[in-house]
Amino acid sequence: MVAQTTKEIIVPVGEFCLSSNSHEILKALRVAASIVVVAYDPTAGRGGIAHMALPESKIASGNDRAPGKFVDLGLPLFIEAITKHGGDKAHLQIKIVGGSQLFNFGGGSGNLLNIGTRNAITARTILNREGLPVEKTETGGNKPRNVMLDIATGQVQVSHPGESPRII
Amino acid sequence: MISQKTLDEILFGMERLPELPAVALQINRMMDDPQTGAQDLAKIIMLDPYMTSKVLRLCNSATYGFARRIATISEAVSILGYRELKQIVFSIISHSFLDRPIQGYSLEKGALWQNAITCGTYARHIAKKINYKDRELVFIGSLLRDVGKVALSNYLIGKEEILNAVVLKEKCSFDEAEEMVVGINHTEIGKELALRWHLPDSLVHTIGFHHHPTRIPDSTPRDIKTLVALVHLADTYTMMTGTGVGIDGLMYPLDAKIFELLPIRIDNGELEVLYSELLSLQDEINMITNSFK
Repeated sequence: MVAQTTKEIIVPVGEFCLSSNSHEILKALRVAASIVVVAYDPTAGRGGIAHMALPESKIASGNDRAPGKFVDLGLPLFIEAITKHGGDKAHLQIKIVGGSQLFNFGGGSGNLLNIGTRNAITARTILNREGLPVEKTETGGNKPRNVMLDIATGQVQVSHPGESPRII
Repeated sequence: MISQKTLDEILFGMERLPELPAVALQINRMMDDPQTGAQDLAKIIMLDPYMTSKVLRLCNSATYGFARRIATISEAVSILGYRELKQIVFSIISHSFLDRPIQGYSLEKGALWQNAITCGTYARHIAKKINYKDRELVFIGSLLRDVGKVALSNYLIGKEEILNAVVLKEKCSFDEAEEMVVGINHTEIGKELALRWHLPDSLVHTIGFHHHPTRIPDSTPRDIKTLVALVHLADTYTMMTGTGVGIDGLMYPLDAKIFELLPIRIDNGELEVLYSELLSLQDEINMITNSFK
């Protein structure tokens, strides 16, 4: 018998990805101001990653209004998709990662471009509305993060550039 | 303050940092000359076989999508024009500097290059939006702005912890921490390189002040100040995407004074709409980076 190799799937910003293949690892790389929501149902062995860039879609129109790009549109779609594909809302383990902020040590820019912080708040608000408790949060700070979800175990690893991954 | 000896050591101790090719030096001299035309540029490119083949390859890539094959530099010049060709030449030069592992910043091969193309594409989009005249210069300045990181990289290896500690303790930006820990920051080194390469003032200032645009000398012409402000804004948006961002992360402030130079309102809503527009340029960015593979 030939052992199946693990396949890594990169989830770019503006997209989400679901999997029930225990040989797959989902990854979102260099997540800075954007936000990643990881959902995993251990009873069904399936989960996914949603990688969103901006909090609210009301600012965009036309082609700019791709649902996966915005937390208010993308996150409900992601939750709907994961439950439609066999994930049970009651069992979902939810983790939020990202939402880094530009540096501002009392500088002149105040709250300008505080998208990272607002992404994290919007994600929490929507998950709360969906009745989904957040198990772990690693948001804020001034560094990008890599996020990995191992479909076989549901383990989520996070790392900053140049650092070893940590399980959260 | 860093000594001249250390600066020279940093600048010339990097055996892997290539010299600016002769063709680029000649183009630099031409850049400020209004009499220069596309055919003059073509003649210079044709003297360099490496540059000629690279330019033709890019002209025939998906980025331009011409229906028929461009076989000669003269043809490329007549179709693309002087400014576009200048942009291509500097993309090739920047690629040769930036497309390498930058270990001190924890950037794998390709990361800094992707960061540069992202910033260049964003800056060019903003320039178009605000009717800034020289969009090619904006693009070239964005590509070259972090060339100093290539030079400083080796001096940062193993110093990440102390750099982070300095940032927190001194409440300063990462480049200021570089200066405190190593004695010089990446923008200063980049500026020195730009001076030694005889790049025009516009590019020297862009490289030197892209993190702190309002530290530019008062006497600097307004169009250069605007150029630096524009690249600063594009750099900020690029950091927010995380593309090619290393250990320095997002540890640079957005200087709100740039909005005195740029016709963009200081309004979170407006700046967010602009960010959303910039994120939609990803296909264009991918096409450019793919054309170099």
